[in-house]
Amino acid sequence: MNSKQEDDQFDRLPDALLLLIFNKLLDAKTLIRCLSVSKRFASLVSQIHTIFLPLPCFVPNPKPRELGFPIKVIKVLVNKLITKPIQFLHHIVSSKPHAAAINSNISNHFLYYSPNKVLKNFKEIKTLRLALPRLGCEMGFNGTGDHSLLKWKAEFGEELRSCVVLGATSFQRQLEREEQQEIRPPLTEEDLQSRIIWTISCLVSASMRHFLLKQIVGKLPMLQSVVITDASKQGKLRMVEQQLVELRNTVKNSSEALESSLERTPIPNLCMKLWYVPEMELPASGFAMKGLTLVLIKPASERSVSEGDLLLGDLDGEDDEEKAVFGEAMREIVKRKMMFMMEMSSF
Amino acid sequence: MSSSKKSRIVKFKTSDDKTFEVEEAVAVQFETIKSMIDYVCANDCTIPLPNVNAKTLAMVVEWCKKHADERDQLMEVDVDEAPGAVLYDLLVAATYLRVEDLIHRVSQRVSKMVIEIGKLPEEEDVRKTINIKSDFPPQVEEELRKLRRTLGPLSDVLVLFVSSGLLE
Repeated sequence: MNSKQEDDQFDRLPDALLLLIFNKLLDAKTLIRCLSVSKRFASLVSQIHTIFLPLPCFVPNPKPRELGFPIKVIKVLVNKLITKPIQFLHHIVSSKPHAAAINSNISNHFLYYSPNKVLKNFKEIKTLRLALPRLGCEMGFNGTGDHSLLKWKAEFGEELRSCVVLGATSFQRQLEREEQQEIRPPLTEEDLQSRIIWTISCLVSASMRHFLLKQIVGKLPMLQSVVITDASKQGKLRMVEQQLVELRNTVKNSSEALESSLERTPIPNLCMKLWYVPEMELPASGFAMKGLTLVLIKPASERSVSEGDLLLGDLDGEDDEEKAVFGEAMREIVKRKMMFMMEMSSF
Repeated sequence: MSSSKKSRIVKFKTSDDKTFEVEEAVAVQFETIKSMIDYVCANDCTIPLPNVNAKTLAMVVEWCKKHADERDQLMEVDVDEAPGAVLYDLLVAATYLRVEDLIHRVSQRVSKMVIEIGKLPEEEDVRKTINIKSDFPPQVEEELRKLRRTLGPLSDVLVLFVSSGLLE
């Protein structure tokens, strides 16, 4: 009976209820759409406390400039190194002639829009999730034909707190049990070198995201939880309330923190533990991995963080099943006795 | 004692002036009146519900009688035949009576609806669908439209980034 009424249905809902609905939207596209529907919508949408914001890729020469909106873009260097470390590494290790091609690729910067512009409309945000775009020619790590794997997760406060990197040269559902081949060399120099490149590229990636967050954190006073992921589901940066408070204070006290020529947060002296297994089967999930590597990283000054704590929390993945596989891989590999301790100086 | 307790009835009067008898087992799920049930039953009072009409109260009662797993189904059915208006009534009622699970599910439903509506290409289409009139100055409207045209297929995402600056 009410359906016949043609009056303004949304106007019947009190503000509190409309806000409740908006808080369930999450989708940034729709939310910003609502901003331009009416003034009432705009004022309510700007009060929401949870938003999921996928950042669009920068498109060269977008027309809106003619309307006079300076669009702040973030230039991010080292494209290939970050997006495709495994392929990158294969090139370096196996074929020298490709080096030139890689260098030219590196010089192709990629760009994405700064979320500042959007986020300043949402002053009340408590929970923020950003997803960085999939970039240009990237294929994705678990995509067609390529079974390699590289995942990371990192926690930051003012600077890096911890980082976990999980990688494998092959990652596949196990078809049938193969003959055990235990004669493989444990870890060649080449392998080790490649693992260090993986680790560095993940750290660079994480510290760039942290730098991005630095530019936002001061403008969102209510922020309690941040997760920055990417469209390829490779890495996940996470910060909780206390860490955000710490970062906000640092940013307030020194403007230098925002002006880094690196365009990323410097990484402190690190100590890391590296586990490596040439082949490993994961009975619970039915997957098999080759060249499986786990690196647990913490600042050299930080003695208190335990390894168990580092392993808590999922790596980003396509679905829950995949996340469970990574979880199992991490739990299994730390049981192995063979482990390398390394130190890395600040960069 | 316990059998007499089970048979207690709580009376409501809806906004359209109808008297409604609700079993105690259902009424205790209304957080708002939970604590007053004893008093109401002892004194044979009728609780007025100025925000809830009979049809909507019937839906809420129906909902509360179902087990959690049947509620999803009920939600689906209701939504197919229920346009926005019914959902809003339900949401207002659920909030007034404080039936948490129902609040959660209805607002989830409405938010899905809003996302669908938000996909319409023009702001004006969005407004028409939900019957809202723009109260923005015409020049802002015009700039938004222009922007959308210039950007073409890319506009979906990019307009958001640009337009958010427009509306300060």
